[in-house]
Amino acid sequence: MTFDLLIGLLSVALLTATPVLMAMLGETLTQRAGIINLGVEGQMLVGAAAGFAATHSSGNPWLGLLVGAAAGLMLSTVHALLCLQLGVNQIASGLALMFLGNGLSSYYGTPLVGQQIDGFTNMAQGSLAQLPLIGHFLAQLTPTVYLGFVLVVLCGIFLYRTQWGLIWRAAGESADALHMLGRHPGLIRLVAILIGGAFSGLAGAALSVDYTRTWVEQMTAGRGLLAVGLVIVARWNPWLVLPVALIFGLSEALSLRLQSTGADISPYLLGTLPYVVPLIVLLLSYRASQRGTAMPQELAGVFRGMA
Amino acid sequence: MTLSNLQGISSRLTVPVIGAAVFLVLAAGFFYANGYAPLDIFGQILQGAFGNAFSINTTLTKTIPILFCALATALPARMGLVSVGAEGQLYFGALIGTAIVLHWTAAPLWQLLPAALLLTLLGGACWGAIPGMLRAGLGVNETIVTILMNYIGIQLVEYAVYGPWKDAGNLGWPATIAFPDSAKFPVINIGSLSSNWALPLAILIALALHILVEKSRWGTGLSLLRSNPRVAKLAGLSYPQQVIAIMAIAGSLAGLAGYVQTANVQSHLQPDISSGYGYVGFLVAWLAGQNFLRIIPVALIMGGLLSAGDALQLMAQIPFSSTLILQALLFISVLSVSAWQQKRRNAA
Amino acid sequence: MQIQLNNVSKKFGSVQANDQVSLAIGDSEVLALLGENGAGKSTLMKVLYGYYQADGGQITINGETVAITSPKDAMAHGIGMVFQQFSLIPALTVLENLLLAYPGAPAWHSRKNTQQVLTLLAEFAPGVAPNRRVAELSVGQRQQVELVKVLNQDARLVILDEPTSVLAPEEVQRLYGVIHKLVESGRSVVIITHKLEDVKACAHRVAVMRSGRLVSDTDARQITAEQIVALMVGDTVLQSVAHTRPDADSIVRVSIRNLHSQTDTLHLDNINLDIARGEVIGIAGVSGNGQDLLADALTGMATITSGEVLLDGEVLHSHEQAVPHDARQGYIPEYPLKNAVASDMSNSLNLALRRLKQLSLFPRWRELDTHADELMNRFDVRPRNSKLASGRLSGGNLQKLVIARELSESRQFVVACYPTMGLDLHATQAVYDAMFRQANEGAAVLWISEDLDDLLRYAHRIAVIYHGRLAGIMPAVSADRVQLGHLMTHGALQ
Repeated sequence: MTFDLLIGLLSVALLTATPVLMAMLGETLTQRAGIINLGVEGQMLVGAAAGFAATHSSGNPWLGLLVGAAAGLMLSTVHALLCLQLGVNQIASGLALMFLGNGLSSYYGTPLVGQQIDGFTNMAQGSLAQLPLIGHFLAQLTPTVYLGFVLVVLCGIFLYRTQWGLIWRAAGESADALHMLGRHPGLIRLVAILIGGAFSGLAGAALSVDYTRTWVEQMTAGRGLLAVGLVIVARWNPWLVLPVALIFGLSEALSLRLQSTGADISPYLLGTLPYVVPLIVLLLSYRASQRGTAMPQELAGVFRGMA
Repeated sequence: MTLSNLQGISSRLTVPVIGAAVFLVLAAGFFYANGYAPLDIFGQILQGAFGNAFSINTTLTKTIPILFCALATALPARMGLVSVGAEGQLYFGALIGTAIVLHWTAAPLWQLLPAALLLTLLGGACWGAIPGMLRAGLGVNETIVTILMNYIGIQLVEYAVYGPWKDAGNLGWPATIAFPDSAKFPVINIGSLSSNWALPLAILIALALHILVEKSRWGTGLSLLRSNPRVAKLAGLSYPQQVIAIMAIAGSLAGLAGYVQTANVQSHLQPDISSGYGYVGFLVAWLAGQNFLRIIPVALIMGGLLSAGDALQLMAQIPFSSTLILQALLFISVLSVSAWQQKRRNAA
Repeated sequence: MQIQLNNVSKKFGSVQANDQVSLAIGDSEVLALLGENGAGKSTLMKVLYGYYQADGGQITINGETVAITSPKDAMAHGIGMVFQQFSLIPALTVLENLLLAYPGAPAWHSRKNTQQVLTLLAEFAPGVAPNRRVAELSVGQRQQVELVKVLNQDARLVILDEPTSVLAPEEVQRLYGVIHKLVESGRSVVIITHKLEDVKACAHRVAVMRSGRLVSDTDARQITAEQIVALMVGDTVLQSVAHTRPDADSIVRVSIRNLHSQTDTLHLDNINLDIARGEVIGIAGVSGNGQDLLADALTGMATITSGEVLLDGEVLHSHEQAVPHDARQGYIPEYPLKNAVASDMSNSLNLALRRLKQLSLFPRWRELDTHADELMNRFDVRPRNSKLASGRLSGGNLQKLVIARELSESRQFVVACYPTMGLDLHATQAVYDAMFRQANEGAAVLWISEDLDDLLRYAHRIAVIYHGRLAGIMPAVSADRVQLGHLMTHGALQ
């Protein structure tokens, strides 16, 4: 009985963590190149709206994910323009993106409110569901969760096992050193912002097309911000993104579970869990993450709050 | 007026003037792309902001919380802190202020209002001090913490009004009992203009902060802490202590915004205290260059924009979210122009 | 490879860093490029390396004029440079740093295909494991890895920028050996330095620069040390430095007891030291052994985990209290731009910093300006603009500003951490004069320096810091360079 409970909890946790995971991966790559983008929230929102619209009109959830990623990428060009080209402060630029993404998604998403879509076909009939023991568990997951796993592996291998990944990491540590070697950290950072935008857009689409299968204004409710904060907890390491995203996932799953069991705790208080728990984890690990060489050094000024 | 004086003034005007120009182009582009005639819309916006007595009063009403929230952003910014937490501080301040109103409902104005304000200040101060302490003690980036705490603050208010403080007499509508007049800021009526005493209070605080920050030793200390916290130690200043103090003061100012909205505008504590005034306030502070004097007119203009947004939604069926886009475009315009000017200066 | 620099000029703002310099570098030779700090030698080599672009003149290699617009171009021509501020990335491992700079690095990293960058490691950086993070290496080891990085790119000319200034005497000897090895293998070496021992040990030719011009270019055997110094210094009249003598009664002024302190990367262990009135204690040591933490802890800028600093018998700083702004203390920290001034605030304000709390709530700012003007005059800080942001001052003038603030009033305890690093002769003299004047008037002075010669010349006693501990202390008059060198590298006497 309890085993089923735990499995149920874990599968919900994975489902709800996947958008955060994807956003975290994108922001990890961006920060590894030396740029912080608080606009992830805005990028997720446009991705959610655009992805939902695409799935609604085409009936194809995969197209929704693709369009969502494209929308996020397009919005991220604003951050690239402001920070890289004009030299605007990264925190301010990210916030501007957050406002813009919020506004654009709310405005263009107005006709989408209340619409419904089918989402991904149920995995319960597939071959994975036939596996012994874990089949039942795997069937509760959706293709986007598996996509998330694949992306984790791709990012991990890219950063730590390829020459381009090495150069990418060097851009986040010392733009000067790269200049000396005749490379262009600016170009790498541009690509990093765009890829981060694509990942965030994908994350938003995963949220609206797969997890909730609806569109509501401001539906990401801070997940993008959490993702940026949790990148620090994951020590900018793609391999750690999954367990850390699960911190959020489990908090949310727990909160939902407690609400549905009719527990006497107000759903609004429970609703603070997915914010409070990751925040506390962030605080506990903050000191430790500043120590040693885990943080890309080009971010040092931004994080120490030199506005 | 010497040449360098003129040059000085013109360089200071560049950002607002060119920024406004860029904004108008972008805004016009947005409206045009959505099938509206830009000049038409601009006209309606002006009408909805300042066109008649009703518009002006709506503008003034919205200016009050915007102004408080802008002050709550600009003060930490003078120390180099980027706080986006006015929204949450607004909610939490309102929550704590409401507590005493609910328990002391029968008290007279000269007792109840000051008590409520005091508790609001304390509540807002707490909500602001928390990110301050985390920044001072652990070095955690205050931008991320303040925004996350916004969501938590809103949830806490929802908990209260859907739960223990819900007025049964409201037929399911989540809100507290109505606030008595003794809990509200007294109204000011001049001709057809109508506002309340929170407005002059906010303006007075802005002026006081301006003088303190620009001319006093304390203000210079803030600039020093912003410039180099380590070197500030040599002047006997403690960065951790100052961070907490400033964030607490900022929080209490935003809390006041929450209280005015709750008591005077909505008369109940309810889930939607604010139409994002915390974020609008943040924007106003940036647009005004974190200058307390300039914040006053900029807050008024923003109040006008939001008031017009209401009107646009009503008359032209343009969703209120268009004002969100306009605000974002304005922010981006000013950021770009100011960065571009800085680039030109550095190249010289 | 014959390299010729022809009439190279380079200007930074109003400063002519290089003025029509013509210099030739031939095969298999060691050229020592000498000059005071600010003479332009580093700039010249950075132009050759493509880090800067010359305003005038050209570079030819083997007779052909070449355009070197970036370090990448320079490396393609076989020119490599090992910098003072190293260009290794501390967070990455040795292997990763070498791969990053390797021209033909493989796209996919496996254990096998990354071996190629490590072939020279054993020879030129013995004892350095490829998978260690550069952050964990000592300064000397980092320099070795930098050299391997440069050699991996097939450099025929290796430029070393002030290589010996960060090394202990033993490591310096090892470096000379490496230079000989490089020359024997057919490469050329340019060593930028201001130390005469470097010339004596390995140079074939000596070129001296002064104020941006090349003033001499001769065979090393045909010039004497005195002549070199004269050329470096020119006809500058040196201000005499106030020489000091400790008080005859040696009353202890500052007492450091069992001081412990800790940061993420550094630590101080059990520092015990007494400084008498009027005494100048010099602290020698290889950089990275805790010097800046020592200076910070002694002045209350870093947390003291246990122990205390006593001034005239009372506790000044301890775990419970730290008073960095105490008026009896004067502090000249390392990296003044970052640690001693608020760079975007005016000179007036930076000069009034220590007194900020004593000002009234609404101070008369004009008075501060007048006071600043007076101080800037006295200490020759240029440009004499009290409203200018301090960050715009050049290195020497900035340090003079800091001196003007810290040492213009009588202090009882002065801590100076690398106060003359990177300064030209004039500025150096001004700093020493101010410091030792304080000592003459009874202050206890603790002076951390990278220059053993200056320490031996001016300090009364010299202590060596090693791994956060004081490894030994001796009177300067009887101090032995070899002994000090050994203490610096091994922490104990033979």
